Amino acid sequence: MMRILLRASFVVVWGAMLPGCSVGKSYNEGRRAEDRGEPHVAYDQYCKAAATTRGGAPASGMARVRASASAYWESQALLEMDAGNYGEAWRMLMKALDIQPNSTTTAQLIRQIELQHHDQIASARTEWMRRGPVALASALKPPRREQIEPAPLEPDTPDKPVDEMSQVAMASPAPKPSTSKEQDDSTTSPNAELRLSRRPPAEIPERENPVEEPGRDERDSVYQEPSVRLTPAPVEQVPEKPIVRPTTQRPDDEAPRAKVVTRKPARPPIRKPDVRDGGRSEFIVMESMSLTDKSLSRGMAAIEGITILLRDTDDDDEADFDLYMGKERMKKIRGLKLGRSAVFAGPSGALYRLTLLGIHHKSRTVRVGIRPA
Amino acid sequence: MLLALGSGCANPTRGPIVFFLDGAGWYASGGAVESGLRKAGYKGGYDVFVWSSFLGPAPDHFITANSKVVARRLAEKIELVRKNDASGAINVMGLSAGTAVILSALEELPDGVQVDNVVLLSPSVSAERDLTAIMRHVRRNLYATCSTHDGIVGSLAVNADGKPGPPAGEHGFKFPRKGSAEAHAAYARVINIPWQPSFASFDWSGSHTGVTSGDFIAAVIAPRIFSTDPYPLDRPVVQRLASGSGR
Repeated sequence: MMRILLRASFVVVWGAMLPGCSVGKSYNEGRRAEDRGEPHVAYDQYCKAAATTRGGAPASGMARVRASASAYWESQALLEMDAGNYGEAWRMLMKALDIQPNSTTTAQLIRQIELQHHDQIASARTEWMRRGPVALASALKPPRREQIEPAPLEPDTPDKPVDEMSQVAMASPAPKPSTSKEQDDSTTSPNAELRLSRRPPAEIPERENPVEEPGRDERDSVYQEPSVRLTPAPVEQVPEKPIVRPTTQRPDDEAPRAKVVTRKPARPPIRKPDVRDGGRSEFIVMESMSLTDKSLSRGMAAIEGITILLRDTDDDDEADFDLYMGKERMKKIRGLKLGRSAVFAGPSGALYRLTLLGIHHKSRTVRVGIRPA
Repeated sequence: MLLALGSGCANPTRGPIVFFLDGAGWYASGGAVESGLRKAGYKGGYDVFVWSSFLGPAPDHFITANSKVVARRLAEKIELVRKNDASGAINVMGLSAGTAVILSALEELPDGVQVDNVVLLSPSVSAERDLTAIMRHVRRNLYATCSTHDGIVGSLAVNADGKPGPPAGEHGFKFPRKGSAEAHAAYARVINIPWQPSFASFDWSGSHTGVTSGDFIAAVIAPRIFSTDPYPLDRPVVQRLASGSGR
């Protein structure tokens, strides 16, 4: 009898401990991801742990990384929009809003994409209506096959209604952003104002003050309303053209998204004059830079050998820049407001105008254009 | 108690105004809800409508929450504000059995008198209650939070509104079985907000009264009721039904 009781108590104790182990594992994974500077992964792991604990350390962890995780998904969404993947972009923006529900700017961006690309997001929206938060982007879910790799689709399996109150996606590699898109696509995308180009880090001067990871410097600003504003670029009004997406460029052994974004694809900056409007286009160089988005460079090769380095952004929609000729700083531009320009001279004596076309303070990302003054 | 009664006696006459009704035998949530709304930037009026009999939770839940007299008192307050301020925002929020008073008060309103939003926190009213007529008095949306971790609504023998069926605070409101076209239109504005793990970071662990946490109100509720645009994360009951969610 004693033996039976002992065995029974052993089973009960183990039964009670096992869920705790699972929670602890997710929480520890979250801590590790947070330490690695991957707030989006950390958030999802904490969320997974919170499904059981419903408070305590996982909740504190979520609160800590919330702003950074939301900013991550928002920046990824912009990349997806740039690539024409509006369904995926919508999922990511919804994820960002789900993480930070009081972000009015994210909500506005979602409304905008719903209005402009209603058809492209219809299936994502239907899935959201049916399944709730589990239908949104997740750092713990595999990439959505139809979005990342249009090649042979697997047969759909009927989705069961999911109780979003308890379900958390299983851990698996994070989705990868579409990086195989040709550069020219970025000049023909209908979302010129949201475009983020990538360039190699060459010829960028060393950072004087390394930028901290967003997961660190935004921990205390949990409830801050982000000051993101995405303003339409004044030029580049080009007709929409179908986007040709690659079908087989993604090898099976590619790294997951969370790691891929740290690479800077080796492609030259966009600097060709836009002649599609009969040469009336103003900007001869347009590019995006970011202090936190690792898929973007912090600086850009501008013109006549001049390099522009993004120094800082602030929530008043202002940005600071330094202009370098080689390693020598030739000009400081401070507090350049959105839509405003600053004039600088090239080595040839020609004057150029640097215009701040867009700013996204939460991800410390800007878009600038350069044209003759 | 005097303070609570005093605040209930003050008669706000213009919008924007938020009326809040606490739960049965529970008088402590008004402050947290107000702080959450203020944190979200709300600068309008805030009125705690005291409906309790002060005889404890059971009399409040079983008797007072169903009282037409109490409901009529709230309806008169709403009517007065609407009369003085035709366009001012009126939002009505309530917890648990207080939600039964809100629904009854909305039914008592004369034709054409509307509030802007209704927020039912952990509603202990029947999930099967037909909200079609009630929604005629709601300009925008009716939100209802629900949680399967709510130990109080999960153990209720009788709903605060006396109607049969599971409480809405557990799984949310359900679309009526024989829903008319008007019901479809009405339930397109009824939105359940089920607990999800991310809400734990806003201090709502899924518990019955934890839903009134200031952080949760500021981050999750306020953006929904203080914006004039549709909120992207809203999943109306009708649309969820149409998409096959079944809930």
